[in-house]
Amino acid sequence: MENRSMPTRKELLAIALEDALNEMGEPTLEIVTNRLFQQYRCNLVDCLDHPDYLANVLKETFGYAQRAVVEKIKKNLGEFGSERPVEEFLKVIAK
Amino acid sequence: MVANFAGKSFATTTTDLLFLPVSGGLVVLSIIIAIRFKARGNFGSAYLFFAGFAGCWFCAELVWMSTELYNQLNFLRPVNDYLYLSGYPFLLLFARYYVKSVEAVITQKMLSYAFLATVVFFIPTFYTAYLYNPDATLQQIIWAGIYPILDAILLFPTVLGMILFFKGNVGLLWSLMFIAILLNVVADSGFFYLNVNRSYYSGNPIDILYLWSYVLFSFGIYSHIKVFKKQKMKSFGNLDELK
Repeated sequence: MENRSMPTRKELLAIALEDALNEMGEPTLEIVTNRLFQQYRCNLVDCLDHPDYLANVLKETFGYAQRAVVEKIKKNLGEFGSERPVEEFLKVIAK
Repeated sequence: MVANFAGKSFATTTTDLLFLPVSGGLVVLSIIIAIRFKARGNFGSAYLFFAGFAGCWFCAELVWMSTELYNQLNFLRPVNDYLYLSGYPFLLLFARYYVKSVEAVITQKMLSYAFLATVVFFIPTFYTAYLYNPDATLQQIIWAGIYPILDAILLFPTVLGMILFFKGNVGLLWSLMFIAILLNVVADSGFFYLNVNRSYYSGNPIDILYLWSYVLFSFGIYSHIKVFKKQKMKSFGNLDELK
């Protein structure tokens, strides 16, 4: 059961991330996904396992404004954001 | 500056001819970044407005140069002011849309800093200029003073942008924009004095500040083109690499 729910959680998180970045503009999503791949060899779906990678890329790109992206992700996730692994993920990227 | 040593008319021609490529360069860069974002998302709208601003000021420079070089086009001079002024709402909208995506993290403290910066630049500029030219007519004061006022208003979102994007890759644009707007404030204040004293001429050393503000705007936009340049996604190759 756990194995089936994990990919869904990751996918939902990736959608929330994509939406938050797309709101700024398509190239914004592009640079984040490109940097994730170039620096850490991972993609948005993998972010749940490596939130620190995403945190670094967002900070590097947006500076203090990365907090706004995190807020938007939280909003997109809704109640799903209170589930334990997602909540931990949000804590790490909000640092 | 050097052109001024060769005489006023040489300085006028040199400056007029310099403004055109510098402002034209900014238009080209702003169009490139606007196309990159395809007017989608908040940043996309922001860049579209920036292109509008650059376009207005380029047209204003074109009209200014034409009226300076051909006396018979003097009737176009009032158009010039309207073109410069119409650039300001575009620049404000650019800042508004850029900051819109991240406004959730704007704090009262940030707003206070931005407000303080606006007031610090606006009040002394306007007051000192007025004090030095008490004989100026109201119309002269309004026309010359409207630019420093608009510049000061622009400082508000620019300071916010600087704070928000501090340390990030997109922060360079805001730092350069801040300096460019500061240069504009200083240049407009200088223009205010000179215009009211009727001692301004095209090619006056004060124009160097305007030229530099175009250069800084251009470098800011160029930095964004570099940050958001289309990158070819390297082939993932073996998908196991990503797991």
